[in-house]
Amino acid sequence: MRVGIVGVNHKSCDLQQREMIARAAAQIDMQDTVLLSTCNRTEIYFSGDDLAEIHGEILSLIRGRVKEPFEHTLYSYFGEDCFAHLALVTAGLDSVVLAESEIQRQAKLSYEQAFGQGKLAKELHYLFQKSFKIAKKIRTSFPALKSEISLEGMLLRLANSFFQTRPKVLFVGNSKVNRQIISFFRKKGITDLFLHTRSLPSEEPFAHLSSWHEFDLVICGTKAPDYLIKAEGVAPPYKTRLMIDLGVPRNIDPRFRMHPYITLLNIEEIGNLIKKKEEDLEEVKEMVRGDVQNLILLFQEKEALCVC
Amino acid sequence: MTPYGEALKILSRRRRSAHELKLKLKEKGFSPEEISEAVKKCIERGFLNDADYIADFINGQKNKGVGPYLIRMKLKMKFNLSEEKIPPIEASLDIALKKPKYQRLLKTREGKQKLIASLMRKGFNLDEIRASLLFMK
Repeated sequence: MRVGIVGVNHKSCDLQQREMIARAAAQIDMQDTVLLSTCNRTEIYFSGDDLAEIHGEILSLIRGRVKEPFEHTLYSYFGEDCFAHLALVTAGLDSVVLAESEIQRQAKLSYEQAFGQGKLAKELHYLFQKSFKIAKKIRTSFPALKSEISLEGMLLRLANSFFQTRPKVLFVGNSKVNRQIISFFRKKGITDLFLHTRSLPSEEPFAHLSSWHEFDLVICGTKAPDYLIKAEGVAPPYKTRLMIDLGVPRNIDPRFRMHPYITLLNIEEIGNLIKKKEEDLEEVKEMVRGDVQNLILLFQEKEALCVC
Repeated sequence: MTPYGEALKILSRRRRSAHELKLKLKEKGFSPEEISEAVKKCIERGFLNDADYIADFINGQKNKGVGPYLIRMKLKMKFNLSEEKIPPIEASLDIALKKPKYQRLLKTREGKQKLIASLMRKGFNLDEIRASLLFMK
């Protein structure tokens, strides 16, 4: 399939260079090209018999308008790689915010604009239309990709899956990580937040560590050298269902694992849950590669039969 | 154009089930032997895969908030599946009930009646709908 792309994005160069290249690319007026220009990327998709020649021509046109050296910031893909790249871009997997959907609208607008200005090669029509299809498939098959991937987001997901109503949360330690989680939880509407701290005054109501069993969720994130919450000491029943230990060394006695009603997760286990999303991402990339190969084969066979 | 070429042309436009492709080729005037040969070749080359398509179709319908009964009916029409070949479908009412238009209906008694009727038309079981609404209380 004779398609190619040359462009820059937020990963390959800084804002100033992206601005210059975006301005230069907007002035290029060539047949059989689609310009995708958003705040984080400027890409020119092209098609033709001699891709290397068109690629060189586009570069020389940009070079004529950008004074500073920029070649090292550009990336280029051809054929199957170009197809897979556009599919991942339209699915939002190459965006700053993972799996965001705005890029799909922007890509559709760019395609429509190019289509409106003149006749596009059938390769470009096929490339864009099928990429939109693949992107849609990714969004429906992997909805988890869109959700938060940060530590705070993962803790919120855990809290939502454990509790039907808003949980009462105890934070142990006025650490940076705890402060981040507190502000994130508050933004998401969890307001029953208490903090146990040694000395520093804080906005949150103070709670004694000895009353930890009265809270639904306990999150520990201190640098204390010993266990702060020990298995012995407080007699059941506990109200607590979920305990998160973000401290290294650990702040919660690991023997709580044996408790039938309490789930204890440490920083390593939370990390593994977050990594699961990255595995999903790899699976998506594999799926895109397979779909793209199949679609290119279909296109080539169809073209070969039409020529005959 | 040959039946296989025509089949590729149809498949390159959008995804089709084997049943839909057969109907399309029939409309073009090809004989049943030509059609079955073209469809067989498409399956061999990997351009037609009903098993994958069914799984994606069910997933997509569930995400749209369509109920199991309606999904079963659509599967029968689209893929020409017999009752015993349809896989078990567990569509959740949660996705349908999260829609803002349904949330608004929950506020009044008449609204709830409308909501139940609407969800039944969407292919959900009446007992499940009632149970979910009780839980939402």
